[in-house]
Amino acid sequence: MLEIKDLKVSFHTYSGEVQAVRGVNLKLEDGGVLAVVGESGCGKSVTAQSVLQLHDPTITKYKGGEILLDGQNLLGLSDKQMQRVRGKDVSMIFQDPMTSLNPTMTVGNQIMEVLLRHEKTAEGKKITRAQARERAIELLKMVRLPNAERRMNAYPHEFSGGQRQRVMIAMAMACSPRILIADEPTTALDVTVQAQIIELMKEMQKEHGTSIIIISHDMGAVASIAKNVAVMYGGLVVESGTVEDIFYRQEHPYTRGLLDSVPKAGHRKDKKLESIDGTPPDLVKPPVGCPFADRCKHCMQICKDYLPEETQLSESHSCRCWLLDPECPQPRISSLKTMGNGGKE
Amino acid sequence: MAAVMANGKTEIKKDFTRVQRDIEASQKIHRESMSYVQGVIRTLKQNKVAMLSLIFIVFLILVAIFGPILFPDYQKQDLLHTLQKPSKEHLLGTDELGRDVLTRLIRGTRISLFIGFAAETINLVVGILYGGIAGFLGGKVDNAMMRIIDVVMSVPQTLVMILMLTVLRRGMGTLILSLTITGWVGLARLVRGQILALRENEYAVAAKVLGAGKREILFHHLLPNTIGPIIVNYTMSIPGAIGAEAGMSYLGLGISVPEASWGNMLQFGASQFPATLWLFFAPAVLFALSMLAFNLLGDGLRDALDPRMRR
Amino acid sequence: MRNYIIKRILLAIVTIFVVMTITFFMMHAIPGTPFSTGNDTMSAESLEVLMSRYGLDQPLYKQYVRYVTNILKGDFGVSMSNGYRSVSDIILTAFPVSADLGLRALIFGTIAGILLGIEAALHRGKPVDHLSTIVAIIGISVPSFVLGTVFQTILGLGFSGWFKAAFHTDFQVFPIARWQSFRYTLIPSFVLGMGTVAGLARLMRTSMLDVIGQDYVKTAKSKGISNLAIVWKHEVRNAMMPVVTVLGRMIGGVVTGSYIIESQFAIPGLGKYLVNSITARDYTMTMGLTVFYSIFIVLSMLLVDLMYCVIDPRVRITK
Repeated sequence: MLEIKDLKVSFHTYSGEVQAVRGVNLKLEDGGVLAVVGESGCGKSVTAQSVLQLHDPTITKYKGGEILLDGQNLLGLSDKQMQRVRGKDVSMIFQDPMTSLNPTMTVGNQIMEVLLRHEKTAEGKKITRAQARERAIELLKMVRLPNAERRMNAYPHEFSGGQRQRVMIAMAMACSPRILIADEPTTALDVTVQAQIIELMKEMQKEHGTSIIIISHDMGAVASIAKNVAVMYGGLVVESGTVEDIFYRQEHPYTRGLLDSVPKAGHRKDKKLESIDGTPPDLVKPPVGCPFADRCKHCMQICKDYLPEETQLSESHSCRCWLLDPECPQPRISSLKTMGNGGKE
Repeated sequence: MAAVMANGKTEIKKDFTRVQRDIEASQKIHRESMSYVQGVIRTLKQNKVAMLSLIFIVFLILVAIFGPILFPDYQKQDLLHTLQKPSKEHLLGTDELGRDVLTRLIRGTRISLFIGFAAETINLVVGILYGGIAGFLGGKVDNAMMRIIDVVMSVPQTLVMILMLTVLRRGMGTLILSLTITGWVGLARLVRGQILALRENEYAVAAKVLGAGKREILFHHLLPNTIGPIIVNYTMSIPGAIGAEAGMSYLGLGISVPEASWGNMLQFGASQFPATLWLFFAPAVLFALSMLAFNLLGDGLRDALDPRMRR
Repeated sequence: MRNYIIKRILLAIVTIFVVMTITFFMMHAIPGTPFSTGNDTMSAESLEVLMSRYGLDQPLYKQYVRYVTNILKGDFGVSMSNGYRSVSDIILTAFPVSADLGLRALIFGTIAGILLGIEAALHRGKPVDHLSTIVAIIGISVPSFVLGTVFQTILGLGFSGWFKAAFHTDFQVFPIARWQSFRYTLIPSFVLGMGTVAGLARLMRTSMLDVIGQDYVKTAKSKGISNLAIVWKHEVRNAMMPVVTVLGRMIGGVVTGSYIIESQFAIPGLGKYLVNSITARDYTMTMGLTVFYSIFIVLSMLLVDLMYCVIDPRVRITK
């Protein structure tokens, strides 16, 4: 089980300290699928990559919190120890399959590399190159890449985008990791290919029992695979819960906004898709109050003054919003109709 | 439910009045915003090394222009005081014919800088014309012009210089001509590339969509992005031309005495080294410092022009 | 890729022809005959004999055709200052020495330059990085004859002199002239290689910094690959690609640098002959050597470019 507790991550850049993640709590059950959604710059990728500590160590500071893998704090591990976690217990696939594979190394070698690094034979010895090769071919077959043997010697530029993402998945699954983190795995792909990749990830999850964290800015894309959803905004988790909680009982205006901006089946053409006006806050100087206040249709004075705490709505569902305060006279989001409601102020 | 205390207060004032959302505020970029050119100048000013280099280069240019007017006797021989060590009368000593080294160095600065600036300015003009024509016309003309560039680029410049200086009358004119005959291709390629990029520039489209005027598009978006790399290239090629003259001097093909140039002073100094140290060190230090200054200024300019490198 | 190779070879051929043509017309731009250099003691008849012997009395186009065919046959003309010895003959004896020096300088320069560039990029802003900047600027901005002078003095005269005095021996640690044993090659190769070190260190640093920020490096890190393997297998390998493309130019730089180094260190290579021919106003020799050098440089650049096609899989397949 993976648990992220009150994680705070900052980057020291030339324009100042960017507080990319400002206290995030997430939980991933064994065999679970957690989707982290939000706009670009909300801290979702930073959170995900923090699990493996992939950020440039010279500018990144993990300012607080813990990342517990079965009770062990990954943030406390040395670089050498982290290397044994990466690719073995937790592996990752990235947004752009065009640039995430090494262009001057054959696909086969890139998969074998991770196997040779971590895999051991039954006797506890390192596996041979021949064994690694055999296993790599199996993996390519597993992700349903045609002509697996022949394509072992091909270079990434000889593959299409979808095929590359399959290779990335094969590589990530090579050592049967317990957790697979997919950072916007479908964003750079064609719509038809997107569905195939999601399908493939579902399969991996079912057949190998791998837990998955999927990062996306697209609610629709993750709806079919996720069991839990965390919505991030301005370096914070603003709402989290089961898929049902988020899709049918959302309490945060931002979550509502995200859902309204997704076209649904049976969507009428004459009806405009809702968008959220404005842009996310600059995390060099994060606002004192609720980060969404400036863009929120339900903004109150208190939202600008104070950051709301998490309100536990049920065992699975929690939300950060002043509308949930018992003293708040305004109606909750869940009591308002979806689509277009509150569109006019 | 407790709230996060901004300043450790135990109680907070819960004010639930509805307020208008402030989309403008959310869209305001909180970081200091400034125009491109302002940004370049600011970054350059912060770069101490580049600023020092710039000051040094300006100083050199002033010396080149006014120095020889103030100290015109660079050819005056004094055969009674040859090869004198630096002294009060001759701050940098005298050479084998009793000429004052400092005066010659000042004259040499004018000659060497003139060669560098003249050759590279010609290259710049030819490069802009050639690259501009190729870039604007495009298509087959561009293709043919590029093939010519390919050929000229693979002709070794040093050999062309040796050839021309061997055959033609040696002197400043031939030297500059030999520096430009193949030297223009680098800038021509660069200019062509910039113009091609300009023609289908995303900034221009984006600026138009955002409703910017033509003037603004041209001055704030297109020109800075195009001219930047050209200025950097120009700055960094000047020391190359000055250095080439020095190399030719070693072969006896540079500016010949009694005229003074950094190249022929270096050559003579090196040939007498280490017997008459001052004859070598004076031009060597000045030469190395200038090379350094042009290169470092070029580096600084490149960093300043590339917003990704800004600090 | 085939098209690219054909195009590249064609370019080399055209360039060689352009160089030959320029040289030919340059030769004819010299006032007088090639034989009227220096002393004018030659009689009219013997001049005529020489003119017809070298075909100089024939129409220009015939001379041109003859000139080109001669070069293609490996005949670069005769040297006036070396007793009418053929230039090809001189090339045969002197070029191996130049090639030896050039190769040493190139190997030293390439390895040192690339390593320095890698170190600088990996420790950006640290002392190694500043060192590489200083080396790069010295290598680029200080002419090699100045560097040569300095090293000859400090190591050759200074250190060797100190060594002799300290150990009461005649042994010269760093000889500064001639070309006899390994010790003699050290300083000249070092000085000649400095330009390459400087150029490659700078380029490799930029290239490495670019690669370090690439996604596939993050992928490699996410696979748990050790830092050393990430640097060598993922970063350096990719950063080398643009560096290979300029190796051709580096060869050109080493060749042109060798004229000065050879004459300064009294190394009996081709460069020394070139410098001597310029001083002696031996036009035919200068021209012959210039053409030879140009062809050599153009061909080495061609070779490097073709090599690049083989190394980089992206070019190998797509072009």
